[in-house]
Amino acid sequence: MLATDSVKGAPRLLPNLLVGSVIVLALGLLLSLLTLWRHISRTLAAEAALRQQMAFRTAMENSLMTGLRARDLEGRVTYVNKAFCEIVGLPPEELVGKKPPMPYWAPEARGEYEERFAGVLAGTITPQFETVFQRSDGVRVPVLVFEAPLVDSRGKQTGWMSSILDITDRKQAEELNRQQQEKLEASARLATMGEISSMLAHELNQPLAAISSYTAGALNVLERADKGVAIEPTLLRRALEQARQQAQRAGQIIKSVHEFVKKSEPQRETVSIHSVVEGVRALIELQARKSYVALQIDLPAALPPVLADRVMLEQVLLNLTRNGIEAMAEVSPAQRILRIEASADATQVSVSVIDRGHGIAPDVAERLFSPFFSTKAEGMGMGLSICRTAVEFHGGTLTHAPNPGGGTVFTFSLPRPAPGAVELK
Amino acid sequence: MLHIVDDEDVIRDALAWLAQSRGLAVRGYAGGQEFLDSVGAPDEAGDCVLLDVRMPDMNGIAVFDQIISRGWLARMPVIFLTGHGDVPMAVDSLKRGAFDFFEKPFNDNQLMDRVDQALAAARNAASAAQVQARLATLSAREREVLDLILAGKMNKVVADELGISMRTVEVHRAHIFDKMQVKTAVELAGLLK
Repeated sequence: MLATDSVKGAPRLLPNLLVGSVIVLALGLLLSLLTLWRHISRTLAAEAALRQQMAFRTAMENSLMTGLRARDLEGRVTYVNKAFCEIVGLPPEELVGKKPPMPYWAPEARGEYEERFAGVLAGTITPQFETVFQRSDGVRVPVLVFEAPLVDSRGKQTGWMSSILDITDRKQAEELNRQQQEKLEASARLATMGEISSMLAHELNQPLAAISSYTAGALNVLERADKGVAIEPTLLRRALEQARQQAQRAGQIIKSVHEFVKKSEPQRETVSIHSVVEGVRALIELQARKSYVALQIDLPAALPPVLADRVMLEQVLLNLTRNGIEAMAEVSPAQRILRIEASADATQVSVSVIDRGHGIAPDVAERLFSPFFSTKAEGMGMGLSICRTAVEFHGGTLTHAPNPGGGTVFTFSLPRPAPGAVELK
Repeated sequence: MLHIVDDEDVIRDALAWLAQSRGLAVRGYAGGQEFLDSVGAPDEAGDCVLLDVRMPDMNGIAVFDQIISRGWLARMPVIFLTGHGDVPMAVDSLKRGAFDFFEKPFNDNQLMDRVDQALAAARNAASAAQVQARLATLSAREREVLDLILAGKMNKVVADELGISMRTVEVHRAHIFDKMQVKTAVELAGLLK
């Protein structure tokens, strides 16, 4: 008998588990290989993209006309671009890692840099300012600087990024523009004077010539009378009457010129010294910067106003500051400081322009205010003479004294109006 | 006649008075065109033009150009009155035949002295022109006779030299005196010297 004993044996757990785990492990291995492969390829792609971006950024930074400079919190330069190196004329190796004083600081403007750098360290920055850099060959480059904080990915400030614009061309254009304007004004003034005098000469010539002819004719008639020719009183009277009328016409012309001159006389208004200084500050600064002169303006907050022609006062101030700046052309840059100070006492308001230049020799001092006297090669010698006339016109005085620290102090004082007599416009 | 061309009424009037005080006849014109249009026949006492350089519309130089191109310059000398700065132009006009120029302000009687001289020059020029005109009316034979008379020869000598009769010479002589408007040989010689 065939007996089949079909036994369904209980599954063997162990081998099954073994197979299962082999399969799982194999799958896991595959999966992790896959993941690894994907990771690697992603990293490669990211690296390529980064490299490309880096190249792009470098190309961009190098092609920029704007200089870029990054500094850390201690003011140490961490990065400069090509344009910045070109502006200051130094290779990156001589810049990166440097702390102030920087090699491109111009000695005469050192105070300004240090003051600003102290601000940087204290965490306050001026977002935009103009200054001067000294290129490695000594040439001063006027620049416009923009500064912004440099922040890392976690939002923590790590330093500052600055972009620097070389504004030499703009400055030159401004300067040229200003010179043109000055020439224009000067020639306009001359033209007006020329026109007036030529008009006056022509207008006066006519009546004077007529008077001369009438009287010469009258004398001829009298001469003939001496020789026995009868005088015609009507004719003679008419000629003399005409001569009288022409004399009056000449007087009228002179009177009208006088009126014209009176009309163009300065207009007095209530002006504050502050506004006068502010009015010409930009021009003075321009000149000062051009000659590497530091300008210091020190006006007391409260100054009484004066009754004056604003334009005339501005001209006086410009003239004095220009003289001061020019007087310092020969002294060392560190010494080139021009100060404008003002003060008031019970009777007058005084403004002083103080230079540390060559000073004024005694023989020069004697003739200083004479018209057509000049110590400058290109000078007309009219500046101080006109200044004094203008100040005296306002009832003031223009004086000068040696500056104890070297140089000269020019002071103009204007009478202080009676209290309550003026109100500031 | 003194012709005063100036746009300034006062100057014209004053110069006219001055000229009259020296016994001159005067006529004034307010502009160049007015002068060119209305200047009359030559004056026996001579003509002279006082010409202002600076005038509106037509300046003195343009008037001067017209006087030259119309052939009037010989019979009416031009004296320019110039303002300051016109001197180079005045010198140039002198080279082109102006009689003189005076820069304003001028000395009145010096100007009038020059006017007198200009009038005399005009009279001379006019009479010279007149003599030439009279000479032109003589026939060829009369010219021959005239030359011999001027050489101081008697009628008889003239007749012999020309191979004509004394009577014919006398007739020619009468015609010559007639045409030249003279009465004696001395007067004729004076006219033609």
